[in-house]
Amino acid sequence: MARVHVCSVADLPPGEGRRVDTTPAIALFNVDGEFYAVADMCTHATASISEGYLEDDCSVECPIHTARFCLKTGAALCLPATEPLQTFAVSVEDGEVYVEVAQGEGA
Amino acid sequence: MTAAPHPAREACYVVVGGGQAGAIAVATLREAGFAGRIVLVGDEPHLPYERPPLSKEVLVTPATAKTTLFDASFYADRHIECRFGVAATGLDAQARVLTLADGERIAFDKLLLATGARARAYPLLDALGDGVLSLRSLDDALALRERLLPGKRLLVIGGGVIGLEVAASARTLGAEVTVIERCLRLMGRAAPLHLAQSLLELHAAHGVHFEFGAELASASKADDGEITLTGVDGRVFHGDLVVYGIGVELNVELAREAGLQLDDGILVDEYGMSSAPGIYAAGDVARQWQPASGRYVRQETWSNAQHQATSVARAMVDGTPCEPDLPWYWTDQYGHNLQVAGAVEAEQWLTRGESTGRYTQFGVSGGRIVGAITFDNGREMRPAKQLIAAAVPLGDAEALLDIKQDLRKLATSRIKAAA
Ligand SMILES: Cc1cc2nc3c(=O)[nH]c(=O)nc-3n(C[C@H](O)[C@H](O)[C@H](O)COP(=O)(O)OP(=O)(O)OC[C@H]3O[C@@H](n4cnc5c(N)ncnc54)[C@H](O)[C@@H]3O)c2cc1C
Ligand code: FES
Repeated sequence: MARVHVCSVADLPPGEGRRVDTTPAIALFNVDGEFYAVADMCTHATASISEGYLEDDCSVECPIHTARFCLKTGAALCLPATEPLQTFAVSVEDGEVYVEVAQGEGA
Repeated sequence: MTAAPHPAREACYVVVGGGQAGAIAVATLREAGFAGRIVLVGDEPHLPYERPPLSKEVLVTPATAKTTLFDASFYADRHIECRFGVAATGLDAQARVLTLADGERIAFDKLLLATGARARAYPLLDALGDGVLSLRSLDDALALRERLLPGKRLLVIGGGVIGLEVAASARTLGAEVTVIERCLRLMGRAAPLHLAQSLLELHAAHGVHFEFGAELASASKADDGEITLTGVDGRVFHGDLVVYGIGVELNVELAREAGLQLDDGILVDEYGMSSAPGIYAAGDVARQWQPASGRYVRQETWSNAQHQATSVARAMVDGTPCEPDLPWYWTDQYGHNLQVAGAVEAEQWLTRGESTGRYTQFGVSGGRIVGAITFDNGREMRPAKQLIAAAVPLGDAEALLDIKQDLRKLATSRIKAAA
């Protein structure tokens, strides 16, 4: 596993998401101070999940056709998506946010 | 033991129409706790699929296009009996018996008609045979894809959403495209005029040629396959391929035979029930009573098929009335995503973020936000829909149009303030 530095905690306030240009790209969200990382490409078509609408129940709604995904498990919660999003481990150290990507992938 | 003269049978709910609404309905019947027999009847040979990709991904990126809603195991796991490739041909509303083309008779307790629509035929063009296509089914899309080759001259008849999506996909694939529209504008009533105008510019920038106010008088095909169309005003168009999208015809034959009340669709109440007790309808074919607006409304959108099928199936199981859904659709053209929600006939449109190339527009009538459009800006559709649903007064328009303000937060605080 490789660890990719994304940003400082202060750069991503609660309720916000951002795209991380790894391969494949990752969407990182701050949900009330907890960070979650999932694959950025919606499993339905080609929307960027980091542009999605963050719900109160720790899920994100795709900005194109409104499929919803659980940020904790990546599970597709409603149509049109049926396949889960890949999830990635996130760590926070000294106020800096990192995501874990498989070896060979990276920024 | 001798069999009872009227053996008690398990309760049975039947859904006719294996499209999006039909598949979502059977899934919902189980989810809502109906434990009896469920039968889904669809005349297409395929597993139920979604139609929106047919004019987009299925044509342009077929290798990665996904259309099937659920795989076969989904139905099997839920003990949903499927009859695909078989049409329902008879419906007796009094006896509650459905007859299929292969002779099977199914006695039901409740039945949902989700028979959707078919492309409206254009006999003048259909008479030409090969080289003329319409687009409603997966098979239509596969046939079109085979013929949409670079350099081919495509004539698109009808400047509605499907015609424009086909035009965009065809340009992307390198075909030459002319859109022939009877009216003087695109998108009929589905989009406000200014939006139709921006779409026209987008297509023109991608090399699509437009002919407006063109009513066809005659059509012919030469031995080499070249198609010639002539307008009533004498305009002449030549092409290798014609695709027409001139609206739909509703599949109401069964409903008519069963004596259900029809008026531009099967009329249903707020539970989705038709004039015949125990028979319901949802999706493109249903025109539902909306108590809030005091009108019957029929919609031909993915969102309506999804939402109405879910809520009518729930009503069939536990009797809860359907919540009205805000009209909403999207279209994808040349890699741009356009979404339209609420009333397209708003008095005035205000734009947020025009200069950035991705924008949100608010339709305002009577000082309230009644409609919204997002162009490559889907992230703002959700809060925009919330503003429409809450009928929030426009208030400080400047703040609403300032892209430095987060629309999600703005919507939440305005809805709170208005409550
Ligand atoms: C090319 C295309 C692109 C589209 N793009 C978009 C889009 O981008 N956004 C959007 O919001 N909407 C879009 N739509 C509209 C959307 O797909 C429809 O509103 C939706 O499919 C309606 O679903 P339905 O289940 O009600 O009807 P249908 O999808 O029409 O399904 C009905 C099914 O019932 C079957 N059937 C009919 N009669 C019988 C019978 N007697 N026995 C057995 N089976 C029967 C039919 O063959 C069909 O398979 C598009 C539609 C098309 C055709
Ligand atoms: S691209 Fe995400 S739901 Fe379609």
